[in-house]
Amino acid sequence: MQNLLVGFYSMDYRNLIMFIIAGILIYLAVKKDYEPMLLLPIGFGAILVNLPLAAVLSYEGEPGVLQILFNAGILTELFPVLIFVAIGAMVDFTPLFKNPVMIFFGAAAQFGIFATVLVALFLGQLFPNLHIDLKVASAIGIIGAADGPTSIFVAARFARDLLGPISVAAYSYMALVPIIQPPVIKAMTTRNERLIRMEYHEAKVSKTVKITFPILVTIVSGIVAPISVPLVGLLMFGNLIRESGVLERLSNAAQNELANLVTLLLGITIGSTMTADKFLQPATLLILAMGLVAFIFDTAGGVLFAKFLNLFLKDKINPMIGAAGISAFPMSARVVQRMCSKEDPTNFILMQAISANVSGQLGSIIAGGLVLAIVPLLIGG
Amino acid sequence: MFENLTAMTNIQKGFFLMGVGIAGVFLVLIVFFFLIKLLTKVFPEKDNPQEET
Repeated sequence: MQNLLVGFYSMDYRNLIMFIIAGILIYLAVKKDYEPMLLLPIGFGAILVNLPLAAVLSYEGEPGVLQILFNAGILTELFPVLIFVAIGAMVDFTPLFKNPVMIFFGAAAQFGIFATVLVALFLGQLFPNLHIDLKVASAIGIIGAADGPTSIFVAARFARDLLGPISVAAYSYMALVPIIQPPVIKAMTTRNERLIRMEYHEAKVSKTVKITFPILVTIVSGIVAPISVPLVGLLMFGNLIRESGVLERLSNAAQNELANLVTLLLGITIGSTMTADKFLQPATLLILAMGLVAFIFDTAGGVLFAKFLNLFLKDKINPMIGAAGISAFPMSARVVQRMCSKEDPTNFILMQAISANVSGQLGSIIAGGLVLAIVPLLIGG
Repeated sequence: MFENLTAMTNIQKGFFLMGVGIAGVFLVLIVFFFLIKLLTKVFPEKDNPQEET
């Protein structure tokens, strides 16, 4: 009889809390349209692993379906890397080729990653029982990449147990960019700065440039930070498929079938890491808070860099452009244009913002690669 | 050199990561900037009259 009721006996209040959290994620996905492709599978995955006995993780000593997916797709880093192929096939670098100077905002807006690592380390010293070492702090800081696959890739290497909360924070805050960025931008700029107009020069870009760029970027990145090749290389492979013009079917497959299938599996597998014992910890709250801090620092870093450049430039840059240097594409560029239109409906800086936003996609994976390269040196690993 | 790095406190390591990380991202993107400049100069878009007709 007891065996029949094992499901009831195995439940405790922590499972119920996880059901509520999963419900919130599904609600945000369905009702608020916040990154539904990821938050919905993550939410449902969290329900599955918090059911009694968690048969999707293991049953009678054998790994369950979600454990098999985790071992095959996350531990091997296969899923995030495949997502990069899909993203590469979706990214059009043309706006960047037309405004190459905007590439620097893609670097400045990565400030949040490193500032958050530092804040997390400070908190780790203040609260030693949180057990935040450099690896954990780096995995938390990488939420500031505003780039889900990069966050997952780094977290899978540095803080596997925290993969669930880090992924949830990364995707949630990406969806919340329209809410997080405007107050930060407003606090850091004057109205006159937000009214700055920027000239846009339409330039044509040859197909040869578009084809050569991903190849050369891969080679340069591979030489500077060899560990970043799985990220940059696969992103650029996807982009080369797109730009070659001779692989339309593969490009479409990468943008649609591959992206959809891997996103589906990635989401539910990430959800499978959200077991109550791993998720309901003080570290989760810290990660959620630090994720927000990272996005704020990213935005501030980009805006301040633009203001710094304006000290030397004759043709001033609208400093809001700096905030679009994060990887959350195209939300961030849209946020900047919306704020710009609010101040002056005849001012258009969308193309420049898009250029900065595309640069952010490059900057975030370079930053991820550098974190992966530098941290082992610092810890002697 | 690496022995010195591992002997630092966590906070010092954090500052090191920040300095080298930010500088590294800027350096790589500066290289990409000049790469784009070079590529667009070497391979300019030529108007193709056949396409226009």
